[in-house]
Amino acid sequence: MAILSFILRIIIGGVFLTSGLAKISDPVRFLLTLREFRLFPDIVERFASIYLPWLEFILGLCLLSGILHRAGALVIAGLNTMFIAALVSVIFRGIEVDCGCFGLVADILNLPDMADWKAVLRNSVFIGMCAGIFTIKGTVISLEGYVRKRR
Amino acid sequence: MNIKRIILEAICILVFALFVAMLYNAISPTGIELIRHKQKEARGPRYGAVHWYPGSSLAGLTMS
Repeated sequence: MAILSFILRIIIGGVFLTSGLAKISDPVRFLLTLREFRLFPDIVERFASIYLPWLEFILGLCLLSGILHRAGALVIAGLNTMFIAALVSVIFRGIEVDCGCFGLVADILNLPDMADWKAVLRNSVFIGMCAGIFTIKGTVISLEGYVRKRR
Repeated sequence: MNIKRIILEAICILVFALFVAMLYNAISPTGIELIRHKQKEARGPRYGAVHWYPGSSLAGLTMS
């Protein structure tokens, strides 16, 4: 089970690290994507365009390194729940927008990045994977575990 | 499973990310200031500003 937790950590951590970096490199594009969602006031959008990419990047680092990985998984699950709510809202209002999940990376790798039911499904899978990381107690190859052993 | 501790750790991650984002915003040009700057650029010149282009006639004085 610890190996399963490690594999899930690497997948989710890698995804969040990449998407965070892609957004950090172009916050203006992320801001414009947030505006297209028409959900929040301007000040919240501006704050989110700076804060969310860094949060994703740090959460990715937490999961990859194994530092506070269970708390990280909890926060990622919360974030994904918010993303799903935003996506469903956009889908029901009939607004066709990019979901903005991967920013520049989606362009470079030609990934589908539309706000549709596939994006909702993907985020739901991420929540399931986070639940796996959260519930499995032990993990392997983690910096936190290494530090605890050294003590 | 110590839920209280995990929630506390989650709050620490959120606060740390906020700190890093603010720090990055403060030291890099790609922060909120850049976004504001781009918004100003997108809006164009302010209302009522008089623009004169060298070589233009009086008609070249435009109110944009």
